[in-house]
Amino acid sequence: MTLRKFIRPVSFLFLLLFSTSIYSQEKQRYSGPLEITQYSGNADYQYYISNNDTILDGSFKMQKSNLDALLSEADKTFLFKGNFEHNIANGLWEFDFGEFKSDSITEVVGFQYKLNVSGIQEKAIGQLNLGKPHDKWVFTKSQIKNSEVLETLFESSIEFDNGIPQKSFKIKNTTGTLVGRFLRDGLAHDEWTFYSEKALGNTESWFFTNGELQKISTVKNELSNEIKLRNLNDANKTVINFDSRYIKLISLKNIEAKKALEKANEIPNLLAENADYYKKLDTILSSLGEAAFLPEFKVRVPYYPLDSLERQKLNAINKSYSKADSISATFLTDTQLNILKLSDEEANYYYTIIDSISKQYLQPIKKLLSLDDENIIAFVDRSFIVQYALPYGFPSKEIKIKIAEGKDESFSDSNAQAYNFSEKNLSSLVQMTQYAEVCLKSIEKILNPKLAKERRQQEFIAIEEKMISQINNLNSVIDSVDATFPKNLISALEQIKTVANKNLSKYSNMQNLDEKLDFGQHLTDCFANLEQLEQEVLLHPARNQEIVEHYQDQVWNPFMANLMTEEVKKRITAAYRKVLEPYLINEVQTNLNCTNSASLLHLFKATHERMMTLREEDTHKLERKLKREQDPNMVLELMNINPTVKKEQ
Amino acid sequence: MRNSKQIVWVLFLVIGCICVKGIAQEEEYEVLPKESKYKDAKTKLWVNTYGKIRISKRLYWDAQTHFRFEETENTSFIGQVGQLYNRHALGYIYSKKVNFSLGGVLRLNFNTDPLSEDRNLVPEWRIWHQYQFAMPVYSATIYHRIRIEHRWTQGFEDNSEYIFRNRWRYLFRAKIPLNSHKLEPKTIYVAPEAELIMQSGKAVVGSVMEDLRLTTTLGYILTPRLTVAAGGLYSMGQDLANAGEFKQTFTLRVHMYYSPDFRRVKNKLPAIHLND
Repeated sequence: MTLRKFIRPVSFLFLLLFSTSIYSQEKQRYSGPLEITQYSGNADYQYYISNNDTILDGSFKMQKSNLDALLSEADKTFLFKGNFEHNIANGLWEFDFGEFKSDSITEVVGFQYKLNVSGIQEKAIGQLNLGKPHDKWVFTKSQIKNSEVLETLFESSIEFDNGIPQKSFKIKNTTGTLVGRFLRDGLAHDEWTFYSEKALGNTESWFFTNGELQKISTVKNELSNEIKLRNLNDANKTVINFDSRYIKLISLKNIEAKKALEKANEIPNLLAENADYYKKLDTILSSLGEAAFLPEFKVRVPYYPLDSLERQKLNAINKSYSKADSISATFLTDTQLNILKLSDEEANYYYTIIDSISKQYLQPIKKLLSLDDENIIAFVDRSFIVQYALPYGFPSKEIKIKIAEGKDESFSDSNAQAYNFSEKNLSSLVQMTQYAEVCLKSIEKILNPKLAKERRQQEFIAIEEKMISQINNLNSVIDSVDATFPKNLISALEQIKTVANKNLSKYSNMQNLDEKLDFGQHLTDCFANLEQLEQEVLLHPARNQEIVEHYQDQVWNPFMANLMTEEVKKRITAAYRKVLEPYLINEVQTNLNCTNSASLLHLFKATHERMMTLREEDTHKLERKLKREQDPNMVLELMNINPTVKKEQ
Repeated sequence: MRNSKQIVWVLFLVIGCICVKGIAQEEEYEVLPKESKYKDAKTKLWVNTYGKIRISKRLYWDAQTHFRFEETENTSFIGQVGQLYNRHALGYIYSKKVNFSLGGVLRLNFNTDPLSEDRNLVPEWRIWHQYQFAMPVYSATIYHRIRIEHRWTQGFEDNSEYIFRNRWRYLFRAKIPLNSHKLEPKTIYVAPEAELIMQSGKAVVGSVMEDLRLTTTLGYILTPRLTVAAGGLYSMGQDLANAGEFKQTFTLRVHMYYSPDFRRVKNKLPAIHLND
């Protein structure tokens, strides 16, 4: 009977366990809050669990709208609707983004409340095939007023075949419309033309052949202009995206194109705007599952891939440049050098040289390295790189400067012959950068000791000024006390003064400058402590009075019917008066030196502070222990005053 | 706090009323002399201890023990023990300057009459209550003390009956610091005092002025909790037996005043503030 009772729940448990593992691949539905990048709203989707990962599979919907926000200020709404297949976006997708305000005037239509909204609406709709855009995708951005479209701010309509743009496309915004077409492999082809909406008749046309840009022609205010691009037929070609890098590449290689692009930039602008909208959707889709939602408009450009040797050279340039730049930046911003160069000719000479190296050598190299950073370098040939970085040729190894009117000087490193940079190739650039580094290092070797000496001199001046002012203070304190000041305290003050003056004369007799500087540094700290210690001694009578008053209590005398002052915790005050106070003063009078000045100062302060706090504490045991205790160290320990202080630096 | 004050007042009044009842006539008559007659002054020495022991914020225990000596034929002042006097009360601190007490007295009276063959020692019982008011005047302080005692006494004769009397006492005292501007530790002060003690009761016929005491004391405040004083007292008053006769004494007085406080420190706080 009992066994059966036991078996039944166990078998049920097993059943439950197996059933969950069997059905774990089964689709589940989630409905609730969700956050994707900056979007948070309510989601409703289907998924299954695989290896502890949530795999989206089936319909997906996420949205947010808030009526309260709409009525009070403005509401940001969104709606994403589509399908996933094993975590990859697939099928019809729709995206809506809105930023709406409302006039809060409602109207009842049938059984629904109607509320007009105004604002901006963005809408994207199209097919996705395994995460890539497929067939026609349409983006629109509209200005909405009273729930009606007032104006279309942007519209793009592009056909894709598995992510590759096809046939013709149209992108439109308030400035104008761009129309163009692609080859089957997504390469730009034929004429891409922008028709201005604002100035009728103005056009901007880019002509492509198999993805290669041939010419740009513009018509502006009935003036036409045409730039032909030089195409290197013998060069290797590669396909890249039509994006900001491509624009940069065009303007880099062709100065005319650069000038023209400064004016004729409508096509790149529209494409960039379009790419931004695609990027927005890609961010959402990629954070949900796998997707590559980008308008891959392709162009063909010359290609000069970097071989491993060139990569090494570029790395060498980068390394040398970093070192050289760090040296030059350090010196050019060094306040000491900037001041010294005003009075010191040599310093001024080197400063100017460094400045010149920075301008003639380092800045061109920086320009070159930026090409590498922007991933452009593989699309331009090497001689062009040198031309681009150094339009006026390589700088001279002998760096000439003008110190003053009619006073020219120059600098060249002693190892200058070892460096050769005249040919327009990467090797020369390596040599040039390394030469700059060597020059700067040589100058560093000369300037550093000079600056160090200067700095030390400044330090001496600063320390000594400080010491003198400290010693003056230390010596003057004793003159300020009047005749009623306790004798033992006067002798303590005198001892402090003596210790300070002895140390000062020791300092002035020192010969070794390094040691002297160290000792001077140490003395200013010591003097600071001694100054404070003097103040402690000066304050001592007042502090004592403070303690006496602190340890008084008011007692009602029933016979006199008045209040009388009574001393409390007499053992503690007695221990202070008879043991601690004489000990403290004696320590100053007999044992004071620079090494223990900080700890003595601390002891003075700590003792007073402790006396002030003991008054309110329960001191029954302490008072009993203090009875007849004469050893100051014991008293300090009993009162929990720590006589040692952190070691002096 | 108000309630406890009221309760103390009511207690005093109730006891007062009970005890004042029934003053009746005496059957026997004493012949008054044509002129009042002053007896020779006796000399005495009183050694008095006064304790006021604080037991709470507002209450203290008043504990007094007095040793009273008086002359014999051969020895003046300290010839023999006259009375041993134990006075206790619960004191209530109304304010720093006003306090009240209520308690009892057991006084042991020794028979000082060398010729008497009666009992040597009889007890005397009292219930007493007191109202004291202090007033600062310049550097001095003056004190008004009203003390009312309900007193049961008996004679030394065997089977002597207790007689009941009420005593009405008013004391005026000043304490004037001599070496300081106020009464504080290390202060010597002089204290002139005058106390009039009236009595009433069946046994009191005519001799209502029991005693008039004129004292001057010199005191020294050692600490807030300990004071010593010494002085001289002249007193005179009507004899109970015959209102026409006046007794006189010269008394040397030595006093010790102590006021310990055994409360734990935390119970003392706040140390002084009573009303504010």
